[in-house]
Amino acid sequence: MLLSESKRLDAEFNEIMNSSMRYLFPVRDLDLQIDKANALGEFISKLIQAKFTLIGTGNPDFANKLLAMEYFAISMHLCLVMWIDLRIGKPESAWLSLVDAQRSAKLALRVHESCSNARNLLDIMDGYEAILFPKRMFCSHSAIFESCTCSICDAPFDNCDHISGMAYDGQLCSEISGPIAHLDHVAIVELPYDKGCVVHARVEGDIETDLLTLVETKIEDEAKKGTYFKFTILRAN
Amino acid sequence: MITSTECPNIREKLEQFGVMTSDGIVLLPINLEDAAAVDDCIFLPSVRNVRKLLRNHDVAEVPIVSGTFKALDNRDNSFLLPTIFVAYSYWTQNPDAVSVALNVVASYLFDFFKGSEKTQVVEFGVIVEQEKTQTKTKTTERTTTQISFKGTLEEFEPFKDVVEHALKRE
Repeated sequence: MLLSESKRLDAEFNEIMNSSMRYLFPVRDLDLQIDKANALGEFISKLIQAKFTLIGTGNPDFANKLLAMEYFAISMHLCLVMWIDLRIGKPESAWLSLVDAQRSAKLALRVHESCSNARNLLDIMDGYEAILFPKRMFCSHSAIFESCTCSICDAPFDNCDHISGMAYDGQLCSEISGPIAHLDHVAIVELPYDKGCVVHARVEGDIETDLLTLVETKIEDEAKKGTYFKFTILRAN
Repeated sequence: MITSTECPNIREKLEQFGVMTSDGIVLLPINLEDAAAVDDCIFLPSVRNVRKLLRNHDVAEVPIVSGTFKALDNRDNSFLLPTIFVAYSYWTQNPDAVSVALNVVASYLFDFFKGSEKTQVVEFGVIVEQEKTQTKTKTTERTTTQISFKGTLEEFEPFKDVVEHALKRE
């Protein structure tokens, strides 16, 4: 990538991120928020394309910088999506957007020092979590997996030198778990690994209560009546 | 929170498994006490990353299980690091190894949890073996102490100091 192209991308990134901040308020026009989210989505695609042209060209630091910018832009995008979801009556979806936005901001901070501003957005989102949503309960699980491979090199994770959670030439290293060999336990916790694994409903008798909206729904199916919580154990993120 | 407890017979158990404790740091399984054989050992998934980090920084590590091992993935908010065992015979010959290992782990944690240093809880432990020879009776007394840490990254530095202090005490 040419230096002039890189500078143009930096300038475009700063412009779109700064202007997006202005839309992180519920009083903004919904259509304008949607337009801004779409514009961010297009810019993210552009960043991804630019990053792919750099991978393997011997410029790992710049590829990592683009990866960090991508995560930061995704975080801003999801933050806008959270407001949009709330305004169109999708609170659970808004919650998931928020926790994924928080996760993306943390990844941006981790991957490259050029995105240290993501900390400010993270602080704003922590405020949203405290003010916009009630205290939630989560589930976590503990399991032994049959295998674990590296997302960077596809080798068994024990055999390569990549460290999970770190960026290598514009790619984030993850441990890809195989099938569950043994499920040790599932627990309801206050502080989970993933806030997307959330207890979302309580069933008492034939009434299911949505724990975000408090809307009650009558259960007709006899097999689904009882006393229990409904939650998501695993989700892709 | 930093706690210190006595935990005897670690080296003996490892040597039963054929682990040469004098050759390096040992990353312990979570069920060492109950494991009857090497194949019973279950580790934390973070062992994989810690092992690579130590290797990258030339800190000798002696694996209990070579190659693929059983790892219990625990998905709650605490970030669990393996407890490491340091035999007296190793650390007296390699006085800087534990310090390097702790710095490597600390650096990894700070990189990994940028943005959540104040909230992310980490659990880690170091088991240090010590020997003291009584000059009058010429007998050797061996103690094994586990120094455990549970807290946020901002509280990690004092833990490193406690471990390093324990290694200097003879």
